[in-house]
Amino acid sequence: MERTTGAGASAPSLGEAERACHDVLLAMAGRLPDRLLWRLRDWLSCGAHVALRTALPRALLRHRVGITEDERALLRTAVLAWGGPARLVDAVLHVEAAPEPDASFLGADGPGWDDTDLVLRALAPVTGGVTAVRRAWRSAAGGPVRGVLAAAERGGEAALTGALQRALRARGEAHPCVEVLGPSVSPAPYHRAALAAAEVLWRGDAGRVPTPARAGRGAPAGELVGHG
Amino acid sequence: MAERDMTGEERPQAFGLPREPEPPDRADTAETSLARRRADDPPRIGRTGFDALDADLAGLAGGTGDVANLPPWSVRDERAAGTGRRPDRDPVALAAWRRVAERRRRRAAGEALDVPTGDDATALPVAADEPAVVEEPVVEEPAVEPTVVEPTVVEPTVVEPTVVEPTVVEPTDPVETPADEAGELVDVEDGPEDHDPRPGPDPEPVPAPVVRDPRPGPAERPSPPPAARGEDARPGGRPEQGGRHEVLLSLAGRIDDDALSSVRELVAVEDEAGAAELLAGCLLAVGAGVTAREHAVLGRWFAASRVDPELIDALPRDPEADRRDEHRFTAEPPAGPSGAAGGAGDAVARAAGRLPGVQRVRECWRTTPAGSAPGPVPHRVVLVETRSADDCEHVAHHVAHAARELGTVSVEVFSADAELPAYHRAAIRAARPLGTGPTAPEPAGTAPVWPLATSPRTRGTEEVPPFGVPAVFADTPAPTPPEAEPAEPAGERYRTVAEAGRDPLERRAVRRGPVEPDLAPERVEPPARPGPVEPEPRPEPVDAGRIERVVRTEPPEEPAPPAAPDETVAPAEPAPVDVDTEDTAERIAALWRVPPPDEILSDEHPISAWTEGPVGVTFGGDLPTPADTPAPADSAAPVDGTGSVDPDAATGDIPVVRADPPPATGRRSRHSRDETGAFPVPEASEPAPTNGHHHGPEAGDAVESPNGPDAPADTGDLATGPMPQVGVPAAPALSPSGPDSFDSQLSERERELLARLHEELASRERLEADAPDPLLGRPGPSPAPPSQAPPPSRPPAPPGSEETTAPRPRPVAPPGPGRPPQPHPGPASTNGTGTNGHHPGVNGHGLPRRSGHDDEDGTPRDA
Repeated sequence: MERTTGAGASAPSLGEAERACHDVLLAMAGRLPDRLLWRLRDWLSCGAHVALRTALPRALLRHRVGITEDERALLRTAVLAWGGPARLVDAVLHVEAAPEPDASFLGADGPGWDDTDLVLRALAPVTGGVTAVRRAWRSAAGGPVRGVLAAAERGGEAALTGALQRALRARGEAHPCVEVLGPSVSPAPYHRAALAAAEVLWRGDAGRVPTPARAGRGAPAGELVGHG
Repeated sequence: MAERDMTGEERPQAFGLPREPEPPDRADTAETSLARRRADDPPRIGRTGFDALDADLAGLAGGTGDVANLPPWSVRDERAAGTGRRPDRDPVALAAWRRVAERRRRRAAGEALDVPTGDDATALPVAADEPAVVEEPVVEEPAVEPTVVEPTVVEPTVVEPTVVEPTVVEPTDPVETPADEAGELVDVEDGPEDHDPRPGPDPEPVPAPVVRDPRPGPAERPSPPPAARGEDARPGGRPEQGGRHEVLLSLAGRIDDDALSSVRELVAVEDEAGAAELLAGCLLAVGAGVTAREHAVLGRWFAASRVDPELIDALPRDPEADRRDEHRFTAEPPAGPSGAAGGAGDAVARAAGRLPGVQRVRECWRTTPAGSAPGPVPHRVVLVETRSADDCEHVAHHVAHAARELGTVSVEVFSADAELPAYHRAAIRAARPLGTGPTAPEPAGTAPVWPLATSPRTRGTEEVPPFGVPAVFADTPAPTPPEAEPAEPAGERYRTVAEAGRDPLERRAVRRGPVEPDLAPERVEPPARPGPVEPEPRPEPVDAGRIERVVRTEPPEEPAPPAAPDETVAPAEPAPVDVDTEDTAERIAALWRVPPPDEILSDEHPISAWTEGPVGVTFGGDLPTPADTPAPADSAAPVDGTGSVDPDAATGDIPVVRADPPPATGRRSRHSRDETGAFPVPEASEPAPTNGHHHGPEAGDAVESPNGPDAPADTGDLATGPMPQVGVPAAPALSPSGPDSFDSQLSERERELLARLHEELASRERLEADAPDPLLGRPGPSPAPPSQAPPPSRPPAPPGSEETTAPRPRPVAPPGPGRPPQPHPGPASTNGTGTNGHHPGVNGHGLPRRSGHDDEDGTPRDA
């Protein structure tokens, strides 16, 4: 219980709850199925808090996903702020540390740029709060899965996530994997692995649209976060 | 608690003295029977007799043995019945019947339930009669094993549902509503108890009336009474389904297509809570409004699923939600890659075609987005129309599953008589039948198109294959469409029982009448099978309509088989069959004796073989032509291919099978008929042994029915024996030698008896020669003369005589083509020669060989 966000804490604001929920959902990357995770994030971006307050803890319970105490504190913050049952939060399994991702990412071996990448690069500059957009290919049974890593300024991460997800959905990706990392978030093992293999689609400090180039493994992990 | 009560320990008291004594006895019997059974009998079903069954049922508590597959409650009932056995009835059905009766009684007198729970002596009188059944089982079970308890418990549970049914609709509401958190525990373990007691005290009134009333109103959630819990293991489960599917239908276009598909899938797999949660989240996310009716249904559903009750309240109300025509559809697939995936529609159509309740399948493309995170827009929408609302959910699940693998496709399933929301009405207006191809845009929504029809429909008529639910299709004997389609069916055809052909006897009749020419062509086709080719003849229609009735009504079509051109004769003599009643009887008996397993499996099903055998005479004619000649209708098939024959030809497939000309070689499996008929004659002679009368051997069989089984060896030999005879020449030799080892083995006494027997038979044959055939009812053709003669003179020797009797019980043989008219020199000579000289006489029936029989028997299965 490092954090005091617990039940006893004064009622957190909705913004705080939303941010907490976003952080929890972010941490669930690679731990909850994409099919479920993207939808929970979508609900968050749409403000369907009433649905999330039970759906999120139940999702963790159903999939037997354990959470760290920090994550539990965040979860409790969100759930209680939205009037959800604390017992669900307490019922979620516990893990000492976020597990290493099972997924592996394709570095230089992954597919190159595609239409969707171009769309993202086109939208990023005009999307408020985005500092960088990267794309990594995660290996999967059905073929490589696109993972979008966006670095954003503080605030609006959930909304940005929703927007990017919809863009990908419109492009035909049924279960978009979009990770919007805020400036204060320490990337989870999953994100570190993804960043290591990611390719930069657009970067805010570049002044202009960078030429397609593969970031490759050489890219410093957590680079996106630093931009905030 | 209640369970304890149910266990029976308490019961005895409750129910009174009379019950107690019985249980122990039964228990004993049960145990003994089980022991016995394990020791001696391998489990048998059916024939064994019901004695064993009863015993087993009695011991069934443990769930051992054959009975294991019977529901516990049925078993228990059986025992109850055990007292008075009812071997004839299906235990399950019986149990069901009893349950219903019990419920009625219970309702009539609420005490019954109280009794078990308690203590009441008062209940005794009432319960005495009815509960008696229940009680006994309970008591016994404990005696047998602890497991016993389970069955007892189960029963009550089962019963209740049934009870509920009558009021069905009503209870459903209560059930749903009630489902609360606490409910589950109760359901799982106590369910049974609850049920029992409940019904007793206030069963009827409680749930139904109260609940219903509330339903109409939106405020069900709170109401969910406990009653519901008790009933449903799954709160959400069955109750709401009716309205639920409709609501899910009306939500199309308001939430993501894939979300809606997921919700429907979850519902199909009975994950009520998951479905409700997902649906609510999506509705909230998109801010979609719901109508009052939808709100009411969702409210009950969510409550039953124990989903956050505020979810439903958070949904905005929009009375016009399902009437808004917000989406646009087009029949034309998008030009892009998405549209290129035209295969998806066909695949979905095929999947739908396999389902029994599907009437139509159409598709269109929605050009407007749906939900908070819509997918790519021209979105394929498949509209499946089912016969009844009951089919919707499972059809939706199956079709959606098929569609899921092919990309993003929305599958909307609704019954033909459903009132559709604006979304679907718009979609139907733009939809075109699926399977017909993009070219045929039939915006006309209603036009009954049998899009997939081709595949599904054909099946529909045949029905049997998929689910074995012929009745359904029968009802909807796809009206006219089938006829039109027939031509199309090229794709898939399934042979149904009906197609396989009718009863051999019937076939015969058909053959006669029918137009041979047509048949001939058909015959040819069968090998080819390709439906398309056949079109010309009538076969196609036949295929489409192969329904049995069609066959019967239209015997003419089948006549084709007789088509066997060469054997024109056969048709002429259709009637023949068996003149001798006794012969027939013997043949039948022979059928039951010992058909070697191989044969059964092989084409040469004993029946067919026999058929041929008897024909003896006819075959004789065939023999000469042997193998190649189409001679015997059946055999012909193999040989000519076209000529083939027969009866089975109708089925068409058979011919292919028969193709085994090998028989021509003359060797055949034992009983097998001459098979190809290649050398019918010789075989005929072979069968002689079977005939018993004439030949010593057969006589032996006939006389020594008991030996019958032994006979197998003999018959077998004989049957096989023919092998040597197979060759035309051989046959004659055999026949003369007639006295096989059998004869030599017979004692004088036996021979005398045989001689007498033969005489009798011969005389009868003469007398009955004109008599109508027992089976066909026609007067047997009486080629018999020769046969008759032989019997008396030389009982054993004339093998041909045997044929008459034993070999092939079934007179069915169609008018053997070979028979009289075709006295091919070869065969005829053989017959005359005396090999089978009897044949002619014996066979008086002049049965055509019916390779067809085999086909019939065997082919259908294959098909």
